[in-house]
Parts: sequence; C-alpha cells; structure tokens
Amino acid sequence: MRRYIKGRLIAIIPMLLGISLISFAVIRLAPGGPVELATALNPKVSLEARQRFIEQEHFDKPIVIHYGIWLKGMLTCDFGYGRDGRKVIVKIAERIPITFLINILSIFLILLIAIPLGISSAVKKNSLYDRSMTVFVFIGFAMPGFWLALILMSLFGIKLGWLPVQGVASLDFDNLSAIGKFTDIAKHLVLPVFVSAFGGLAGMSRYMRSNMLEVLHKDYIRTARAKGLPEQTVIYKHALKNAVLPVVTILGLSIPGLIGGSVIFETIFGIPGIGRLYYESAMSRDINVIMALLIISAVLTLIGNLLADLSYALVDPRIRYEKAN
Amino acid sequence: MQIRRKKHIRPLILSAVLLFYISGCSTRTAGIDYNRPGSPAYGDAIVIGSIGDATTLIPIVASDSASHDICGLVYSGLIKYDKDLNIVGELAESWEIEEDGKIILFRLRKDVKWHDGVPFTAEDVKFTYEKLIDPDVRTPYSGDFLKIEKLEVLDPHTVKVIYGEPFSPALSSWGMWIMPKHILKGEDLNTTKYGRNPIGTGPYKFIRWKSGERIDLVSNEDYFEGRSLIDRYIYRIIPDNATMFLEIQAEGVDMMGLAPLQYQRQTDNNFFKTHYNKFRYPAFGYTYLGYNLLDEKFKDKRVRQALNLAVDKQSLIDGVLMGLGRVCTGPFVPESWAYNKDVVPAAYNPERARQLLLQAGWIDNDKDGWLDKNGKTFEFTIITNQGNDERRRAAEIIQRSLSEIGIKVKIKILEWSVFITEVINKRKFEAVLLGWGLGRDPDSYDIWHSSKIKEGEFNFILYKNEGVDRLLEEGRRIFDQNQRAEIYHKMQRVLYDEQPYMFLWVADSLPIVHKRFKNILPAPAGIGYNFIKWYVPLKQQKYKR
Repeated sequence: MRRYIKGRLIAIIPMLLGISLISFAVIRLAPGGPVELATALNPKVSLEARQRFIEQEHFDKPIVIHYGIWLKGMLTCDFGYGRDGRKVIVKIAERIPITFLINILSIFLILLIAIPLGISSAVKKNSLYDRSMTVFVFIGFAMPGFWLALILMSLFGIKLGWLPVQGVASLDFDNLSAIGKFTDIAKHLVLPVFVSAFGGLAGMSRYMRSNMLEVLHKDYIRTARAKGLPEQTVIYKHALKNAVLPVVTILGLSIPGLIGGSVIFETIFGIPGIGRLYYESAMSRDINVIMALLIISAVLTLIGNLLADLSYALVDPRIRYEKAN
Repeated sequence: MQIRRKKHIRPLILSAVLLFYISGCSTRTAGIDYNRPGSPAYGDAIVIGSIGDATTLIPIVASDSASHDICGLVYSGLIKYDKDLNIVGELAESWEIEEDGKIILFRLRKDVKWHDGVPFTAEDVKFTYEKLIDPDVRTPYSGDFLKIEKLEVLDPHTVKVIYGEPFSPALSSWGMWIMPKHILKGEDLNTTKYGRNPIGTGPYKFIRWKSGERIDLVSNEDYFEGRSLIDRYIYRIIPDNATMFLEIQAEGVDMMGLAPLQYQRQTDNNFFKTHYNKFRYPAFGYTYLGYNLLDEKFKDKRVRQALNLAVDKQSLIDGVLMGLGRVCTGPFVPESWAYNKDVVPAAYNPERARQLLLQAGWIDNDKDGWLDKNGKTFEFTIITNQGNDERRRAAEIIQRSLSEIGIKVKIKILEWSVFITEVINKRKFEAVLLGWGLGRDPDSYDIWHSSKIKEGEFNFILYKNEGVDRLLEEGRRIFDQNQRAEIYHKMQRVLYDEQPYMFLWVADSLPIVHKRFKNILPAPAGIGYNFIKWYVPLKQQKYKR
C-alpha cells in the first residue's frame, strides 16, 4: 500500500509539468493579449506606456521563454505578482475561505437530502412519490441558478425582508457581537447555499437511486430477504453500504471543486470568491493568476483521484492495491 | 365550498404564484419623511454601489474607474474642475503661465497636511513627477509629463514647470493626484503595500479594503477645504447590476448609476419617489461608428455622408437608451466649451442618402436588392465588443436602417481583449462601433491627428486631414480658452462634414441617490463636484459612526 501511494505521488510531478505547459501554451496562444479594460482605449495612455506594460508582462517574448520565467518562479513556490501588483498567493488565499465554506455547506446539504431521497425513491420505485421526487429534483436541475437566485433575493430580501439581499456580511458587521457576527454570516449564506445545493440535488439523488436499484437486484439481497430479515435491515444494513460506495468516488472527485467557484453564482450574490477572481483574470489575461489557479486545481484533482482510489480500498474489502504487484 | 377550496390551495403553489408577481416595490413602510430639508449636520455614511472593485490606490498606477473613485476622495491634485468645468486651484493656490505657456509657475497652499500629519510641500509634487516619468513605474499617464523639460522646486511652496514648447492641456494634466514623498520614497510603486493603504491629502482618509467586498473611508477632519459633512464613505462592490438594483430597493445602497430601463420604468413607483432622487445629465463621452478609411468603400466622403443620413439617430437613442441621450454632432460633449452649437445634426433622409450613393457610383445593377459597384455588393461588417448591450442593439438598428437603402451589414461581437489586440490594433475591420470617454480638456490630438496611426495608437480609422492636423496642433499651443474654443468649433464643423465617424449619441449619466442626502446640486460637471457639502439632517441619519 505504501509503495503504491509513493508511486502515485511521484507520478504527479511529470503530470503537473505537462498540465502546466499545456495550460500555459493555450493561454498564450489564445487570441488577445494582456489588456486592461480601462487603459486599452484611453487616449491619455500613450503607446509607449502600453508597450512597456506588455514587455513587463513578458507577452512580447516567445512562449517557451515566458514559460521558463514562470516555471523558474514556480520551482521556488513563487506564483509571482498579479496585474494589480499583489502577490498571487495572497490574492488567492483571501478568496478561498468563502468559496470553500459555501461549497462544503452545499455538498453537505446535497448529501443530507439526496442520499435519503435516492434511497426512498429506489425502494418505492415508480410510485407516485418516486415520480414526484424525480420531477422535483429535475426542476432544480433545469432551473437557471441566476434566475432562482434573483427571485429568492427579491422575495426574502425585499418583500419579506428576512434575509440580506447579497454579500457575505452586513455593513455594520464590525459592530456586532460574536454571536451577532455568526448569525449575520449564517443569514448571508442561506440563499447562496440553498441555490447551489438545489441545482446539485438531481445528479446526486439520481445517482444514489440507480446505485440502490442495482444493489437491490443483487443475489445477496435476495438471500437476505429469503433469510427472513426485516426489510429495514435489508435496506440499511446490506444494500445501503454497497450502494454508497460509488458516492465516495464522486466525493473524492469533487475535491478540486471545493475551491472552484461559479462565476455567475458569485457575481449574482456578490460573493468575493475564487470564481470571480478567475473570470476577471481570464478577461484581462492575467497569466500569473490564471496559472496559479489552474495548478492548484490540477494538484487537487490529482490528489482527489488518489484519495478516491484509496478510500475505495478502505470501504471495499475486495480492492487491495498491494496485491496488484 | 368555494371558500373551502381557496383555503386548500397549497402554500407551495401560492408562493410560486407570488414569485411571479413580485414587483419592484417594497412593502415596508418608512417612518421618516425624507422630503424634509432639515439643516446641515455632520454624521451618517453614504454607501456607493460599484460593479467593479478597485485595483490599486497608488494614483498614478490606477487606471480603472473604481480605483479613480476612491483616489479622487483620498488624494488631491494641483488643480481641479469646478461645477461649470472651469479650472480652479486645489493644492495650488494660484498659478502663472509665462513665456507663452512654456512655463507654469504653481504657488501651493501652505495649510495642507497629509493624512498622517506631515505637511504637504513642493517636494511631493516633484516626487510625483519623477515617478510619472520613471520607466520602471507602471503608470499609463506618463505621456503629458514627458513633455516637461524640467521641474524646479523654487521654495517649499512654489513649483516651476518648464515645457519644451507651449502645451495647453498641461494645466489640466496637473489634476493628477499628488503622492506623499515621505511615505513612498524608496517603495516600488507597482507592488507597494501602500497601494492598499493610501495616505493622501483629500477629504477622506482610508480605513480598510476587503477585496471584492467593500472599501471604507472616513472624513478627514483637517481637510483644507473644510471637513466633509458625511462622516463615512462605504464603497460596496456588487458585481451584478440586477443584484445592485435589488440592494437599492432594500436600501442597502444609497447611490448607484441606473440603466435607462431602470431609470424610465423600474424606478417609476411610490417607493422610489419617497426614498430616492434621480438625476440626469450628459456623460462625458460619446458613441460612434468608425469606418476603416483605407477601405475602398469608405474612402468617398459622399458614401459616409449617405450612411449618416440613412440612420435616424433620434430613433436609435429612443430604441437603445429609451430616449436618455442626445444626438452627437462631433467629438465634444454639449457641456464642453469646445462644443459647437451651430453644428446641427443632419436630418434623417434616406432619399438624399440614395442620391449621394448614386453619385458615388453605387446602384443596384443586378436587381438583387443590394447596391453594387463594379460587380461588388455594398456590404460590410460592424464589429463591437461583447458585454455592451447598448452597442449590440445599436448595431442591429443600424443594420436594419442601412438595409433599407440597399446596404448589407453583418454584425460581429468579440471579447474585449481579442477586439482590441486583433481588430483595433491590427486594423482588421471595416467598421467598429465604440465609444470614447473624454477628459475635461478638449484636446483630442491622439484620436484625430494623422501622425497617431501606428499600431496601438488611437487614430485607428486612419483619418488624415491637414486642416484638422493644423487645428489640433494650434489648439494645444494656445492657452486662452476663447481662442481655443474657436479652433475646436472649426474642427467640429470639419469633422461632422467629413464623417470619418458616424457620430451616434452622447448618453446621459443616470445616478440615483437616497433622499436623505441634501444639497445635491446638478451642474454641467455632474453632481459629485460638491460632495463634501452633501449632508443628512440629524433626524434622518441612518448610520452611526
């Protein structure tokens, strides 16, 4: 097992090099260059000033040399500076907590609802309940998130006045007590977490339902029923454990998604998260920030894959990696 | 039975129905009558809604409007523009222009202190100048300052600026915000921590900045023009316009810029009438359709004039801006002294347009409905940038209008960075729909002079007219405003006749401000010029310090 993990970890390095080279090339080869929205067509900005800016951004150099400059920084774990003169690492670090928090809460909420929903739908397959749940989760899946967000903001934020419209904290946040701060943040999180979870319910609950259905047709379930075990025990003890296995894989694969924010979603709710940073950087071709975000999510994807494989071995006794050798 | 049935309507359906009926108005009733004028008082806070976050608060490096909004309150320049757009002193008490404009002598105020208490002196002006021309500093604004031959500090409160030749926009360029030498000396201005912790001389002091969320300022008690009446300034970043509009209904934002639809329709209800004041005045900029003048089709002036006659600008403004704008008749906005009132917009006249095109040789020979000449159909593509709905719709209306006189137009919309680097800079276009934001000084040498046609420069339509070149050169040599006005009036007449652009519109700025703020007096300069005199009467104040 240890040898297996070591091998996988070493394999990450050449993969990261490949990923970074390809991403870098794609960004550089894309049409358009580093422009700042404001200065691109500002007559007060001279040609010389803009050319100097392109030189400072290394966009006048061949891709290989530019990549070399970037890689040299990377080797010392230095992601460089963003266009605004701040360290990329600082820019990303200040954005991660809120994106991470919302994603964790939303995944938790999805699991909390989707797993029981999937199980009960599978057990009562093709019943009225199953069908109405299918309709319900697909409404969530099909509904445009930004539209739902605006409608809910309008209802709870303005009509009823129960929740704040947008943002992550109230204007007078600093004057609140500790408990006040906590409830303030909680109130701000209700709508974003709900909206992002609502869209994700369909996938997870359908997945859970089909896993469960598959398992319920297995021989050992028939055996368990034949033994005369109560239905509750059959479902929760014998079927559930096996049906939940693939969900573990999905969770492993969703690790990079934890720090990936959605642009539309963060924009609508005014959340200063990773998604907005990524979008703004992509629009202005701020290559240091884009690359840093890509590398971080590549690392997390690779680690997530590894974790998914390992946890599989943990939950499923049939999988043993050391025996592969 | 019927009554019982009604009771049984499921809450779920009810709320679904409710969702569709939510209109813009709030049901909450306000206890305060904001119509009462009240008397001036210190206190309260103003919350500004902004789509974008600032990037840096080092004023000579900052280039976006959010950074400028904040820098404008934290820093001061030597001069500024008053409500009627005249140049008046700010950090400079007075100035003298000597040797026909080759020398400007600034006398500085002696009562100015930086936010940390250190007195402001001429050394700070010199420092700012040195940084502006330092090639290692990423400033976009070096252009005007590279024309300076020498800058001398005569005494702590007198600065002598010597130019190689008379340059009248120079005075305006000294509106540039001055930076503190004692703080920034030895710092790398591109990456310094003071970019997020600025020290200035302006009416507001910086408190803190939460990225992507808010920037907080507090009034400077020692401000040299008197302490601002509003205590706190909160700049709230709300990247989505629809969300910001919801936030203004929740009164979480006190001021924002409205879109035409919001101005005309969505704010036309009782809640907005009792809680907000709307303002309307021309913005400093215009939108145009620029032709590539190297293109055979557009080389003929008659063709360009014909296109202008074939597009009804007023219906364009009605359709795109809901009427909230004015027909543009040249490169100056109506509020500017350079604007020539006597240039009247050409009336919509498709008949005359057809005649002009006929004179230029464009006629429908093959009877396919489109004009042609030498076997080539008159067709071209209008390119504009993504993310600007007004420009897209304008392009569509122009497409429709021109099809009526037999000209085929295609529309292409490109992402900004691609648009600038591949289309504008490389001149790979037939026509572009764009806008210029204008400075307060009318000098537009960079846009119209025939020398400014290198890749990346702003005369990208390649306009060349010796008369205009001469006027532009003269206009930046002369300091007398009346003489300059004459020059620019002439230039506007030539440009409107030549039609290198189809000048479309000057849009209106449409700010909305909460009613508790008093003493907002719209003027040619807009509403922001007397911000430090805005106030909220004690009884109407909302935020405590």
